[in-house]
Amino acid sequence: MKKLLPILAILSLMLSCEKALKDVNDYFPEVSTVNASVQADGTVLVEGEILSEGAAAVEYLGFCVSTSPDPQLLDRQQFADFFDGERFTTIYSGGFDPDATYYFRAWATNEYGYVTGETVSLSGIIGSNVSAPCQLSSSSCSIGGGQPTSNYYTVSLPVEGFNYWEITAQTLDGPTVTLKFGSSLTTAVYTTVGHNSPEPGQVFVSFYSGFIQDSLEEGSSVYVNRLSPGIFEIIICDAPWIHGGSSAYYFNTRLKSPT
Amino acid sequence: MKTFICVSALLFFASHITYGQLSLRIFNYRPTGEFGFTMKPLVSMEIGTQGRFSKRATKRTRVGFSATFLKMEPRLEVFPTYGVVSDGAGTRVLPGVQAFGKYNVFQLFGGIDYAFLHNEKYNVYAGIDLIAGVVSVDYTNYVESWKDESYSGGGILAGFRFRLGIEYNLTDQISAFIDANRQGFLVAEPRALNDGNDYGLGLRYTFD
Repeated sequence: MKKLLPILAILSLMLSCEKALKDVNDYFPEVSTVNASVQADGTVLVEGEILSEGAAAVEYLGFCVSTSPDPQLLDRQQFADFFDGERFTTIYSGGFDPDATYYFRAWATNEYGYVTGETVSLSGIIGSNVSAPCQLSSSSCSIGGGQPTSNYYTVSLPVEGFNYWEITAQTLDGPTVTLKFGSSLTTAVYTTVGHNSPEPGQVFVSFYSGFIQDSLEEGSSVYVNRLSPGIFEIIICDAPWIHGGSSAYYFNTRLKSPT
Repeated sequence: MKTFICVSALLFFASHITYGQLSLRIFNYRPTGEFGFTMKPLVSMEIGTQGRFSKRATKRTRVGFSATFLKMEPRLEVFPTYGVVSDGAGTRVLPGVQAFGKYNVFQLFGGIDYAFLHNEKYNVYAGIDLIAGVVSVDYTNYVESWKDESYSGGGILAGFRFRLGIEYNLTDQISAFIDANRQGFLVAEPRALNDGNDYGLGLRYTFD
């Protein structure tokens, strides 16, 4: 035992190499928000970089964005969907007001905690005009199924609610159509959903005409061009809806809000 | 709890104080590992009683008992912690903060040294101690939308300490020493496995 003691003591001192790092910040990862750029379709590509992993492997990477100059971790939080070991990116699919300034920030975590990078600001986020794959007359609406094409006589302003934008368009003798968008309305291609709570980038399109009351199936494209602040052109081409549980009809419309 | 500690300490030292051997040590305590991430290094003192090695190498072992108090200071006012939740809305990283108001450690040591190099003036020795003691801790831990807890209290601790040291006999009664120690201890409440190194120098005085 006596002979063993020096060996134990020497071993324990030699194995005590996990000394504390001089600067406590060296335990955390270090990230930088490199760039945020608007894509042609109105989405925003955000890019970050890991400058240092810290004292442990990085566990989560992502971005947050807000109209506040100091975005917090939970503000429209998105995880990185691409990471090459240094650079990481994500795409924010719409939901931006073209008249506002947005602040993007990268963040990362490891077992010691989380850090955020600096902010990158972006204003006037709006995509290039989108082209619908059909030619329709202005202010027209056809719900299909042999019903005649009608013309809108009034289209409302986009009305902002809690996390949604809504437009109601009425024809004189045909359908009344309601388009409910997620929390933003701008130039972009939106996707229809089958429920009444669309997320950013989604739209719920419902209509009634006589005894018919229905909504478009999910997955169709809705083409929105912002002509000027507060004025939009919306086109829907051959979007299916199901009547009577089995028959599929195709919805076409082109409208300008407001009219 | 305090009474228990005082009584334990008195019992711990009583039998040896009568031998009239007193040691006083100043050391730089450097937490390592997770403890080193959280707490700053500090300087503290250790007081105890410690036998002496005989001059003619007839007695190469000695027993020692001592006590110290470590008033730990956190390295950050608030630590940026986080939690991860997954639900119908997906997976989210929730930001949080942890802050330590107090982290005090009281330790009692009892152990043995063995001089593996020995002459009239010097002893180079290795040693091992058992550690017992208590911690007193205050902290808050908050993670947005998930956790909001605070803790104030403490618990007992137990562990080991290994040591290498050199002692120089200045006179028949007074010795000076330097040593390096490695210690690890388990805290019962709040549960933690803490470890650290310390580097010290001190004097040992023998009353004849």
